[in-house]
Amino acid sequence: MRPPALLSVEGVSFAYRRGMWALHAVDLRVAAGEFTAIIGNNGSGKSTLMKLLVGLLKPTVGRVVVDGVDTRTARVSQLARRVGFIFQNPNDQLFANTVAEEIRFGLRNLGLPPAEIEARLEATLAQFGLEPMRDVFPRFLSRGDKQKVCLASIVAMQPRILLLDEPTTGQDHRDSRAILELATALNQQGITVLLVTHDLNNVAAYTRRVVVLRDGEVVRDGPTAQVMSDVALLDACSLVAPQIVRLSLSVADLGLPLALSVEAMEQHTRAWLRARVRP
Amino acid sequence: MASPLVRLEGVRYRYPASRDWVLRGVDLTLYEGEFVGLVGTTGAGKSTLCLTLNGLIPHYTGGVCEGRIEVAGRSTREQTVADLSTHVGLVFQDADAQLIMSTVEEECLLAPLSQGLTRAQARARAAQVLAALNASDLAHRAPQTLSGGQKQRAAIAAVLAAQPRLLVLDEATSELDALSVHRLFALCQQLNAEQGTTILLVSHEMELLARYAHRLLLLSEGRIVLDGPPRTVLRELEVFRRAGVRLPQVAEFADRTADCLAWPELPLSEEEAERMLRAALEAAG
Repeated sequence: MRPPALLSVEGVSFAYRRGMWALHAVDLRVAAGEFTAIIGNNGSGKSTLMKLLVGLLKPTVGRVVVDGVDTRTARVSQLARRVGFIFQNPNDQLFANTVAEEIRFGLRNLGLPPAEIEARLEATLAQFGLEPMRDVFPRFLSRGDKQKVCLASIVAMQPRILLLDEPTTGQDHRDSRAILELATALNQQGITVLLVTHDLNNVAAYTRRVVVLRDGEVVRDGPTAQVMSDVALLDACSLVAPQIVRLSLSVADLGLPLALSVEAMEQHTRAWLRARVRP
Repeated sequence: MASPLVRLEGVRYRYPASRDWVLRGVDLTLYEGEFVGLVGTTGAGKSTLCLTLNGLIPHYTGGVCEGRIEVAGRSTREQTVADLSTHVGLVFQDADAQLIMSTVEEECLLAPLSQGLTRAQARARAAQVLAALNASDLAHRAPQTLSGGQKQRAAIAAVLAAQPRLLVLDEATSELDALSVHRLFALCQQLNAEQGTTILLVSHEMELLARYAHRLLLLSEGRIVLDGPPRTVLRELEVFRRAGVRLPQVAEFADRTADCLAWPELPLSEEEAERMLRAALEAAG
């Protein structure tokens, strides 16, 4: 039996202009606790789908239901309690004078009592290791720390779903890994994470399910390993599987299982050697 | 030996109103015809280094610039930014900062016309670079109506239209999808091989840099800490880790399994890795 959907996109089409479909007949169900990637090349409809999920756009056809709320009739504040949206560029999100004010802002908008706001602020600062920066002007922080503040300010609102829009674009390796490990930790605490990206190294390493968009349609929806090993599909979508996946596929005839990360490839290789090399 | 196109000696730079040196003593010579990759974390000084090459530092930024920067044999202090633009084409990370005309084609005509080409010649060159970037359909579009990836292609086309001797791409691939990124690296290789254009490519795409670049520079805290052919440089795993820069996945895999597999040398592509891995597994099994 399928688990109930926390988020469902039902027969959704969307046109910015009449007759120009940015998304066409999209069906998507996401259950609580998933860590799912939405991938596709430029123009595939990823950003449009993301905006529909947070209610910034309303479907032209069909409906989007987020934690029981239909986005067509929901108020922004109703959706904000349920879905946290992390912008690609943290500078688009940060505006307060201190890190603490940044986190308080969303909590005030939820209409929480002051004591609750302060309690959640302290808990969030501790959770993200941001106490030393609580009075710092967010714009003075490094890009990695800015993104951490963005994530903290959203997580403080205790959304059930976290949407990350290209969080690693323009980021170096250290910052990319930091943000995805934070997202993984939040997922383990029960938050459903949707990652929109074209960085397949991170998709392979962190997510369990992948939805592939092309020209506004879902062309594949399946476990990460299956999607990453479908080279023909990825080619057709102008996507390229991670190098380690391609290496792993090229030596599959030797009996090495598919590896989605360097660590997995190392483990498979060691196991292969143990099984075949006599001491 | 190829002649030096760019020479930096003891270059230090700090932005106005800042006490911190972003570049802290850079010595670097780029030779005519090289294909060089530049890597480093955010804040390492990569973009600042790029700005010294086309004269925006020190001519437009202010701040304190020490040391000597020469392009085509002359100090950049003695050349105007316009003069330098015939030698050095810089594509910025942020394409919006670069696109100013009403259409993409007009953007691509700007440099050829300023170089004295006729409008017909300039249009032919614009058409050629747009086709090479698979962007011919963007010619008559207004830059502000383009997606991030399309803007980056338009900005790259406009710079290529000037046919610079040194093409500098400062993280110009960050908004592109994977296939477009592969195409851009292949285009750089083609320009380098067929027209002798010197390439300096700043990127986080380690797999592609290892495959395409002849020389790799690692910049960390304003200094070049590694400089050499990728196969040599990528052996310095600890230096890369300290600098916060990841290795190409096959190189990291080879390093992690060096104790149990006999890798003859560091693999730089999945084809090399496959060949070496098959041989090593057969030898072990």
